[in-house]
Amino acid sequence: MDPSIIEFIGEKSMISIIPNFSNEPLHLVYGSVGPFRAGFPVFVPLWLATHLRKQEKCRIVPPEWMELETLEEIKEEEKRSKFFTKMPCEHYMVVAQLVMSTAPDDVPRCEELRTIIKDIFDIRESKLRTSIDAFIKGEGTYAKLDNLTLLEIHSVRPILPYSLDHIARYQRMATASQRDTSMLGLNTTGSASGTGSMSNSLFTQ
Amino acid sequence: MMNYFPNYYSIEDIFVTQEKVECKVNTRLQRLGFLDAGAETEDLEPGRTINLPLWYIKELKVNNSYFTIGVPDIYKNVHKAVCEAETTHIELGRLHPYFYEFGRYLTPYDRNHVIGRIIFETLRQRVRHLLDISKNDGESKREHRLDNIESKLHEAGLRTNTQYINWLQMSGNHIRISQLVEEHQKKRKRAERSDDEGGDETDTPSSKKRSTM
Repeated sequence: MDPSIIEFIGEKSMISIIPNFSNEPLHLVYGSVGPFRAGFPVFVPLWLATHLRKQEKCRIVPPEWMELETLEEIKEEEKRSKFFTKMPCEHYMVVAQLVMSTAPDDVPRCEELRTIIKDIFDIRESKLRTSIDAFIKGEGTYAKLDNLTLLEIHSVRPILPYSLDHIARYQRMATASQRDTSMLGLNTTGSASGTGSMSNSLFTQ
Repeated sequence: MMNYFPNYYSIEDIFVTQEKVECKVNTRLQRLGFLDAGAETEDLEPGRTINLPLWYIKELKVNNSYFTIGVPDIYKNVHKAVCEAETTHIELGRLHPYFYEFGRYLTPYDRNHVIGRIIFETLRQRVRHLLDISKNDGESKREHRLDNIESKLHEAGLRTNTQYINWLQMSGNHIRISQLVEEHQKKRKRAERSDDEGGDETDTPSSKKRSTM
């Protein structure tokens, strides 16, 4: 999956704008937005917000979480926690990227925010890689990763599923060959019991 | 994109199975002396060592009475020790360009069950390293470090990373039209063009006249 597709999905999230025009409600395929009244905030999908902003027909109201103190807290929490913390928005990177590139003037302290959001993403990404490593080297047969956003999952795809496929293939080969010969009676009893437990883990994978 | 289920037509699989494997002859094989370049007799005598390609060997039964298949040096215990210490520093590509696949084929012939475990453990240890080097592509120059499968994984990782960086800089990648739609559009355009040409034919004489004037 391309980041642009993730952006496309993220663009469906709603954001508040203050239009400088008045208009009837817009009836779109997935639902209606509006009515627009000049000076009154209204919730619209992100793609519409950026489109209107580019034509200078509105001002974007940054979401509540897009604020230095809140993000600072999230960053600290993310550093402290062993697990992934819940992000304020499922597409925080996409929203931040789109809002800050189309309307840098609407966001106070835009550059600082940009850095801190990138920091949070990097922390989470390296955490993801560390836990992947622990998972692959460990004996676990499944891993549970909550609160990951699409773009973060994208950063390890498709390399992770491909590698896991290969690893599983070699594991299957190793266990299969061991089982074959133990059935022929060429093996000692000790390693035969080992085969039993390994094939168990094979099935659960 | 990633052919990791080797099949009859996969070129990697053909390369791997071309590899020669050392075998010890166990029984007298009549009229097969030509397989051994150094042999003077017409028959292949027991006790001799010959190199046979993997594609031949893999069709033999594991406990066949003709050959004992020798484990190549790269998978021997010495290397196992190295692997267990620090796998990320081994230049796998230099050891063997198809380290994993070659090992996978030889696994059933290894009575000590070492190869199977070696390739499994080695890849398991090195995935983290692959993920890391995919993040910064500066290291990709060291060609010999990676085995064929690893370098493919590495490429996949690099591609993801460039896509992400391009997206951050808002450059390059836009959503493309799906292939089906694109084909359909092409077909329609072609049809339109052929229609136009049919209509144009009446106009061509006049345009020719104009050009001569």
